Amino acid sequence: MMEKERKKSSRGIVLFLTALILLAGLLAFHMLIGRGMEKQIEKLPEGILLKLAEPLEAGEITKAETAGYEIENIEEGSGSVSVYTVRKTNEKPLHVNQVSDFTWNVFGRQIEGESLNLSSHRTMASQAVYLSWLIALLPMSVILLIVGIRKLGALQEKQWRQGVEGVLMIGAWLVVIYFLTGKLEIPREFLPPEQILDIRFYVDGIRGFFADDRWTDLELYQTLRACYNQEVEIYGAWVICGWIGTLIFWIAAGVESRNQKKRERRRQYG
Amino acid sequence: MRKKKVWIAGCTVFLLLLICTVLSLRVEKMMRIEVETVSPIQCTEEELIDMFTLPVSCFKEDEFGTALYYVEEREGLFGKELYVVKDENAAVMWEEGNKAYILSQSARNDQGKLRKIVDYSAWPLEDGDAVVIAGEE
Repeated sequence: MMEKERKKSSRGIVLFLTALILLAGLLAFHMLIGRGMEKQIEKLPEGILLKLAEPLEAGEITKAETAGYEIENIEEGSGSVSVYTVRKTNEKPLHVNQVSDFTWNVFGRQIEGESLNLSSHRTMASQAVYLSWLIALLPMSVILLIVGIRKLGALQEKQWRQGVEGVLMIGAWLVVIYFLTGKLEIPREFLPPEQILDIRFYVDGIRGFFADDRWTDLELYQTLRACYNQEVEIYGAWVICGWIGTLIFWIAAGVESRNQKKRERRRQYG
Repeated sequence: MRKKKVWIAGCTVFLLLLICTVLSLRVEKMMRIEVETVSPIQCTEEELIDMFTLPVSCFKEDEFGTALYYVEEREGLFGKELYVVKDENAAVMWEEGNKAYILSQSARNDQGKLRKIVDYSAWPLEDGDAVVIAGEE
C-alpha cells in the first residue's frame, strides 16, 4: 500500500520535472535563435530607399549632405529610374510617405517616385522575438485561464486556498502579457490606420510586400525579404515546438488528473 | 451547482473585461500616429520680422481645403500625451520655392512659443488624433 502511494506521488513529480526540462529546452533554443537572428538584423540597412523618376544632380546631393543627410546612389536603375538610400546623420528616424514633398524639402526639387522605409523594416524584423513568445504562449494562456477561472469558482464554495491560487494564476498571466506587449515596438506604418483588428490590412500588407515587384531587382530588398523568411521559418519552428510541448504536457496532466480521481473514488467506495 | 455556474460565468466576463482593459492600454499607445515636426523659422529681414517660413509640404490638402496640423500637449489618463490640432485658418501669404511664408499668429501658440508643425505623418491626420513625434519617447 505504501509502495503504491509512493509510486503515485512520484508520477506527479516526474510530470512536473518533465515540464520544467521542456521549458528549459525551449528557453535555451529561443536564446540561441535570438542571438543568431540579432546578428542578421544588425546587417540590415537603415534609412529610406528612394526610387526616383529622375536622377539627382551633384549640387542637390551636396545640399542634402550639408543639411545632415547621407545619400548613396545604389544604381542608375533601368530606364530613367534612379535609386538612392537616404539616412540622417543625427540619427533622427526618417519618415517619408510623400516622396515629392521629401525631395522638394531635401534636394530642392519635386521628383516623383517611391520610397521604402528600411529602418522601419529593421525595427519590425527585431520584433520577431517578442511576437514569437506571444504566439507560443497562446495555448498555454488559454489553459491557464480556464484552470484559473475554475479555481476562482471554488471561492463561491468558500475554498479560499483554491480561490487565491486562481487569482494569483490570472494575475501572473496578466503581468506576463503586459510585460511582453510592452516590449513590442511595431512601426506605426505596419499597423492599420483606423483600428488594430483590421485583418485584411495585415493580409494585404504581407502579401503586397512579398509579391512587390517594384523593388525585387534590388539587393537591399532581397536581404530584407530573406531575413523575414528566415525569421518565419526559425521562429515558426520554435513556436510549433512550444505548442507541441504544451499539448503533451496538457494531455499528460489530464490523464494524471483522471487517474487520481479514479483512485480517490476507489478509496472512497473501498 | 447553478450558483457555482453563475459565479464562474460572472468571473469569466469580469476577466475578459480586465484583459481587454489591460490590452487596450498597450494598443492605445501603439496606435498613436508617428509624425515628424518642424518649427517655423522667423524671417530676419526687418520688413518681414512678423513673418515665418515653413516647408510648403506642411500644408495638407483634404476635401475641405488646405490646413496645418500642429502638435499640442494635453493631460491624458496616464500623464501628458501629444495630439494634433487642425488649423484651417493658417494662410500662406506667399511661396518661394518650397518655402511658405506665414504670419506670426499661425507660427506661435497662445503662450508665444513656436508651434511644432507636422511635416510628415505615418497616416493621414484628423483633428485631435493622438500622436508621437518620431525619435522622441
